[in-house]
Amino acid sequence: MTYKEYLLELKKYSPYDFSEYSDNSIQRRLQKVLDEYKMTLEELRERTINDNLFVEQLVNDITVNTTDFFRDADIWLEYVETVLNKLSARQQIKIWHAGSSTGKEVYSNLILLDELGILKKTQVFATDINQQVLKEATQGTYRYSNNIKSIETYIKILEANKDNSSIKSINLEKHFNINIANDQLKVNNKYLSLPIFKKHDLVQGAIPFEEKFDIIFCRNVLIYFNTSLQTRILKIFHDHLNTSGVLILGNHEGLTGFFKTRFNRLGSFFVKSNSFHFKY
Amino acid sequence: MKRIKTRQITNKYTVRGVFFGIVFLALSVLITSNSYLFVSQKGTFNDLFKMYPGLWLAAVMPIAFGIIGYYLAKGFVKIIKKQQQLLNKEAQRSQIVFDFIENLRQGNLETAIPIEQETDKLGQSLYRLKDFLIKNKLEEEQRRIEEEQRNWVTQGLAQFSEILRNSSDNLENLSYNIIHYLVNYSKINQGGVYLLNTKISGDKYFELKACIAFDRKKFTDKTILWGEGLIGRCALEKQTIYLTDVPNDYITITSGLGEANPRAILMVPLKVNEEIHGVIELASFNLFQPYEIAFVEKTAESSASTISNVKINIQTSNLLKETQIQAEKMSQQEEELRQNLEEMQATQEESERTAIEMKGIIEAIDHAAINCEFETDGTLISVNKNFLKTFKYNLEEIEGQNLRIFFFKNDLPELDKILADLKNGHNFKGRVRRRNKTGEEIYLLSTYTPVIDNEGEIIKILSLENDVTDQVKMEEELKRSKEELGILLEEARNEVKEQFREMESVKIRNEKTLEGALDAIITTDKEGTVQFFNIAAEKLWGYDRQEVLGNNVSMLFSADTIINDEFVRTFVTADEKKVVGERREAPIKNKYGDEIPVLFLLSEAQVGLEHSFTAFIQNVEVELF
Ligand SMILES: C[S@@+](CC[C@H](N)C(=O)[O-])C[C@H]1O[C@@H](n2cnc3c(N)ncnc32)[C@H](O)[C@@H]1O
Repeated sequence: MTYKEYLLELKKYSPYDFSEYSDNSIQRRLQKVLDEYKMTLEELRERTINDNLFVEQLVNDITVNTTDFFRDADIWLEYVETVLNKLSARQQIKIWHAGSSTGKEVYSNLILLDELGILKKTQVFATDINQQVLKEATQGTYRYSNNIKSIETYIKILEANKDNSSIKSINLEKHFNINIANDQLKVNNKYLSLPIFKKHDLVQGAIPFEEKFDIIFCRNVLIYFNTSLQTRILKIFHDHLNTSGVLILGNHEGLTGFFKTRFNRLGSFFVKSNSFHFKY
Repeated sequence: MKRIKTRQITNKYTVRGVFFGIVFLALSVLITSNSYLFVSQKGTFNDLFKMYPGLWLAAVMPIAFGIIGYYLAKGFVKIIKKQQQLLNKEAQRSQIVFDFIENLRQGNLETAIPIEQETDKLGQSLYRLKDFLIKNKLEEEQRRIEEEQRNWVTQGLAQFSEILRNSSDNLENLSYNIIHYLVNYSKINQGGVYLLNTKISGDKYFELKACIAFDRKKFTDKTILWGEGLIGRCALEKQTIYLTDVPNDYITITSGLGEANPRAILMVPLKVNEEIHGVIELASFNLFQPYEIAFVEKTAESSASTISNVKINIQTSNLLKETQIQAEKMSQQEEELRQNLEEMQATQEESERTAIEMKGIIEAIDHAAINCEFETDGTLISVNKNFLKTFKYNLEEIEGQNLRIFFFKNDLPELDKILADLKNGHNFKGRVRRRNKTGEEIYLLSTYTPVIDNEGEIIKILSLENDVTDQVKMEEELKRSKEELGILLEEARNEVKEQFREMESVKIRNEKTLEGALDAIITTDKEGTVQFFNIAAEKLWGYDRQEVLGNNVSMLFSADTIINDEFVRTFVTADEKKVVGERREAPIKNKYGDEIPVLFLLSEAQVGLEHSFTAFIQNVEVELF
């Protein structure tokens, strides 16, 4: 049995379809699972068919949940200046974080919205395929030692760019409850109830909400998909963006297929264009 | 009886004396009577007495001996009596001693000794015996009590050590078990266990870990600082404190009878090897017995060592837990690291994928487009083959040249403008005219894109161009011929217009004629929709034409007729071959439902693809006046 055959079996017997994930990556992740459980693909298939809970665990094991507060700090600077500042006059702002992992990206965003004073009129949705990380996300509690660095890095960059940025600095205590003895870093309680965290598999298409969004974050998720799946997901995003809505992808991710022409570049971001014609 | 006995004795002895006297007399008589003298004389009995006057003496002998016997006996009896009296007295004494001993035996040590002369030996020794016995008994009692207490203590300690042995690794439970057992076993009213704790600041304090019926007035919270109060003193001195004079406000015992001050308070330090772990405090309405205190002290000792063990266990298990958590953290971190690596690798692979795609695009561009790169002042950096082919230069000829060489003189201002725009970061797109090596003009569709580095500096300009010279030439040609064609077209259009006008007027003329005809006339299209309905038809059917036009012609006939009459059926049904050019009689149905027989003549007309049918209808009914 090849791992591809296994993925087809998984697709057949479970709600999950990883068959269009990027070959090399999914193979490495599966190999890791096999090593950890000391199983062959055939045995893995048996477990998959007979054990629903195991499948959930498998999803947890396969997915890569790497994330960080203010990951790629420069991008967040640019985000505040070119995206948020433009939206701040709006009545309401709707944001979707697709593949939100443990929520650090979501809370980073909320902190910035709060700093700009537009938190109240923002509605934030966050989805992930991995139930486990969503649970962590709703708790908003992280390890201090692992996260303080990235936050401080962002603060440093903010302070270095004081002169041409709307947010001059960030007060750690204002946004986080810190307990160093317990190695705990918890986001301010007021943020916890704001985002709507929902389990959702991008591969399955149908979106669990009606809304159209002004901003969609989907960072470092597409790298795990092959090109045709990427294109399909981009269509979902395109369909769920308001005109002039902004799509924010990971640093090394870009548009594929026809969507290259359905978005305009805005710095590092992509803005949904209202023209469907190839512009010469 | 004794009297009788003494009389018997006197009687016996008197009789025996008399008898002895008689025997003596008889013997004397016999002897004398047998004597030679007497025998020789042969005298009478009286003679005998005369012969031997001593016989008279012998004759009184029985009386004499009787009297002697009597008195002798009397003397004996006297002695016996005396002896008997003595014996009686002795017997009496023995009885008293016997009774006394019996009493002692039965444990009545308090009985007085009824012997007058305590000085006598027996008395004295009896006294000594009594004292000895009393002492013995007291000692025995004491031993019994001590034995009991010892048993109480041993049993208590055994049970207690059982409790300690079964104690869990939980200080609260352990403390509770200790105090619960102590209070119950010693029948004390209340008690508590204070354990020594250390704050993060390093300050030591006692914490009330467990208590039975405890109600401290002074200390509302359950902690007492090191050295504070009696508890503190007890720990500081490492000595038991026993208080019988309890301060009024120290502790009250709450019981079914309400609150009351205890009579005694006992505080025992919990210490192992002189190290204090806490203090046990007991309060009671009764005084504590020394053995009870000793018991509490003993239990305190073993409690302390158990507590110290439990503390060590807790510490160890905490350490173990910590190590476990550490290990878990490490495996978590390992997974995180692994995921980080995976993310990096996936990113790299994605970048490679796009890079390959880009390479493909670039190759395609290289193939298809005229490509060059130049600096912001127009100096060429590189060109591709298409470029050389289009401009008819060799590579050597243009290396290091400026774009200007490809411009006609009067186009040069345009170049300066484009370069200025590019310097500002704008793209250029458009159709441009260039000059090749041979001086011919070529047309290019060009895009110039500034390539910007991370710092926002323009490094170079990328130019992609298509040769549209042919296209431009063709377009020009086309334009020319288009203009010619335009004139022709206009003429044709006018002609057609004229024709239309004519046709329209013919149509109107025809319709007018038809309208004015006496015959009823209706026209339908291929589908059977009524297109024309003249006045005569209006009269015949009674319908206004507005009611008919646009509807299907079948409304003008009855359903029966449509089914049964071949002519009508084919007339009203689309796509049926109709009966054309023949007169036919058939009934129509007017607005009021009356059927009227009429004569039909159907004619067909075709204009382009449009078929139309016109029916001429004459009323055959003769109107009777
Ligand atoms: C590397 S994390 C990115 C987290 C965050 N967006 C960031 O950039 O910091 C990718 C996340 O996408 C989620 N994911 C993977 N496949 C998914 C799918 N089919 N639908 C929804 N989420 C998916 C994973 O569970 C994981 O949490």
